[in-house]
Amino acid sequence: MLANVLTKTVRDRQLAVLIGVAGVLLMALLGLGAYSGLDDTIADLYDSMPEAYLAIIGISDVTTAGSLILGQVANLMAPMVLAGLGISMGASIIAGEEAAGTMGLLLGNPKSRTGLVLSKAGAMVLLLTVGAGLIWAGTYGVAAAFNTEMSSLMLGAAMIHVLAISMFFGFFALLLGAATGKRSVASGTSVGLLLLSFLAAGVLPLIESVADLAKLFPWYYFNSSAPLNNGVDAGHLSILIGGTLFMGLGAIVGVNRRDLRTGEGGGGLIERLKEHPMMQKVTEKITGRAKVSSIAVKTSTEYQGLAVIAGLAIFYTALIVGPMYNGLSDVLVDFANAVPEAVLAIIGFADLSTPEGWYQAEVFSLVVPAAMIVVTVMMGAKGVAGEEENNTMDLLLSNPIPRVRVIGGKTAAMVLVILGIGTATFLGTAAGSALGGLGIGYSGIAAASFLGVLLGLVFGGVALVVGAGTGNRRVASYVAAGLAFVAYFANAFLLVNENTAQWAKLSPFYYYQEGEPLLNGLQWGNAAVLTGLFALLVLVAVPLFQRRDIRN
Amino acid sequence: MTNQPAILTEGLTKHYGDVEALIDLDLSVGSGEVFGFLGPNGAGKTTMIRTVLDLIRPTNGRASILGMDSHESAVEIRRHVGYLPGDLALYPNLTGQETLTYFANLRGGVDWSFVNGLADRFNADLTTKVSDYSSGNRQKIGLIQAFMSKPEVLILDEPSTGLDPLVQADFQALLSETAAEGRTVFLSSHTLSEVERVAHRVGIIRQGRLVVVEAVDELKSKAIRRLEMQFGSPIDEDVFRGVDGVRDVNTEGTRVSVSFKGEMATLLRAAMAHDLVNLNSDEADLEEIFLTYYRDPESERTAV
Repeated sequence: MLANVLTKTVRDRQLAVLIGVAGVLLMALLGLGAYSGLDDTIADLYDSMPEAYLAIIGISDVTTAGSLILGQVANLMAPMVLAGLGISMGASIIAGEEAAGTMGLLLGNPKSRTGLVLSKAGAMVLLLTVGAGLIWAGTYGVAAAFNTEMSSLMLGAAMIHVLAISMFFGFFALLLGAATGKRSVASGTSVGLLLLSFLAAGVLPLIESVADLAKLFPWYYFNSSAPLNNGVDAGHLSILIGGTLFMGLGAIVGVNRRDLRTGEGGGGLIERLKEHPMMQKVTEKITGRAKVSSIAVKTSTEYQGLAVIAGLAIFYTALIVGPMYNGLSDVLVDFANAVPEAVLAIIGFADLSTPEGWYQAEVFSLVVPAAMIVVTVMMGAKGVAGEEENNTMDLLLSNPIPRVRVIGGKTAAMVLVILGIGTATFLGTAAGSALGGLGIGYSGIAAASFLGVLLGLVFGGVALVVGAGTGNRRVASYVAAGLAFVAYFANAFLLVNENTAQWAKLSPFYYYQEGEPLLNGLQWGNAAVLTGLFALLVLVAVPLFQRRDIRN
Repeated sequence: MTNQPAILTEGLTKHYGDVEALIDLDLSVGSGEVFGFLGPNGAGKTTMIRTVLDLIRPTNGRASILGMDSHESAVEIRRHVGYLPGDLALYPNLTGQETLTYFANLRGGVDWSFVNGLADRFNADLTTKVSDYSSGNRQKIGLIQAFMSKPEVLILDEPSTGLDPLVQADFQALLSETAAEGRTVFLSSHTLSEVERVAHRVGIIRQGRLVVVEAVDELKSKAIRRLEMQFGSPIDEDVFRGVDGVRDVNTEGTRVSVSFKGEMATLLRAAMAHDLVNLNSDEADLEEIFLTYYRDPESERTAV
């Protein structure tokens, strides 16, 4: 596997792809298990569902429980997982070698920059193709195990679209990484575009006047043609593939035009913005100066920029969702009447005809937990394991501080940063509700925001524990993010079927959403469960960290 | 506390699975001593240092610093220890000044006039971000942070890495001053000339075992040296055979070349009994001794 750059890249990345594929198939298994026996209910309601809603979740022709789950696999899980893997690989192709300081060594060999891009991009294409193929074959296997009717579904065509969108985002990250040499810029921007693109392609078509704007986003070309039902759309596919090739060429030009870096350098996107003369003043105001009075203060100032950006993103999302409700309320009322709770539970929708339900669907079901969890998992994983990975832990611990203080400081910073984002969530929702005249109660907004904070802390706690136990930042991030992914869908799927509903209580998402906090205010028991879980995780992290050798 | 050895290890052993990184290491370093710790790559130097600092835990045995157990009193020990890691990494988004401030805050009781004095002495720029430093400038920040609290014990792992000769000279002077103040320096290094210049004693570790601990002067006296002698008339080489310490004798007319180990007095007495015209002696080559220890597993039994 070390024969050349391509095979080494495959060797380094194959495990992540296999884990991603296994995760998707596990979700398919869980979904088909939970939904088995609900075929009649689902078939009955399909005809009455408005097309706009179906566009959001990218499903049409829902005739059986199986087709609903397979729609989720092909339209949401598989593309999200494979595009995520593509971004991770694409961002590392050039910028990853630079961050690790290995680029000089690699190019000390008779290998051109262009050759390097081609070899590594080739490995990415190969791995994503194998990943899509395995999901395709695996899903057939899982569906067969549950005797799911699949004759009307074109899973192969859907997976070709999945492969195209994941390569598009992988090459987008490659382009940014090759042009800037900053892995964090490449992956952060690409993930941002992925989420924005997913939401835009779902929401914009709902509003007639701006529906065409959806065509600006790559996700539109992935599933607006419903490939699972209609087969491959050659036009859409060629746009994605053409864009991918164009970005590949851009990456080659980009990497050949600039000086290569040794080491990641400063703090990613923020540091780059600071270097830009036009953005310097604004960025410095956002991030503030580094403060080093304690571990907690130093860590939280490092994330100040990220917190401000994530907070603003949530604030504006929550702000614009309010006024949107008035324009859509007629559609939403029809929709709410048509759809039973069983389906609403999948995407965490509450009663869409109410302002609270609308906010729950558009802001609190996915955007808030995703933003909170991304930030806390990053902080939790970097908390202990990041210092070890950067080789700074030896120096930190050569000071007269016990290891528990490192955990304490990192935890305090995580709480502080996420409370800031929680505050932005509260303010954005309150302002959006006021702007739209929706009259959502402040106590409900505070409760939902606070539970979002707690949910984020639970998964940040998982990342902290795994990082404290292993000293491996990547493992900590993957485990925590993977667990969040499984927990999200497990909660949605398991709640639908009476026989499996009890098991949903194993998912932290259950305690985040249960009891409709936006409408009914804080569910104290649920808040206590999440707080207790977070405290327990931090407590477990302490002895795990204290007992082991520091990695070097 | 001052009566205790600055650093003491007893049967210190560290295994990584089947790999024996440290084996039964017994070592005592006294207060006010500059101790040079030498060994080839992968011999166990950094493992020993990280074990003593409680960053990794011994499989067997124990270590103490200033009489305090390295694990039980890890935090208290660090109040008295300054440490420079071998593979130094700093926070790229902080300036040198911010880096030192951070560690000064964590440590407490740092005298900033002393820190600024160190920065001046090393000609260190504290205003630039660490990510923009050269490796030498980064090393200067590492050195300043190790010395800035005036610790009783300094543990420095490859401290001269990346330093230019001028800064190296300043650093070596600082080591001597530190020892003169009664403080202890434990110095792991590959720069043999530096160790020879500043260390009172050296320990050599190979494949996890401490193979020798000796005063530098003692080691030098045990070095095999060559002596070239010029006599007024040809001389029989038997004159020097059997003289204490003489290993090998070669004669070429009036020139005699002798390799010997130990005191020179007996050899000189034998030479002075004849018509000695000129004498030329090589400096004892410590490096050759080190390399002998590095290379040959049996050397500890034969080289001394």
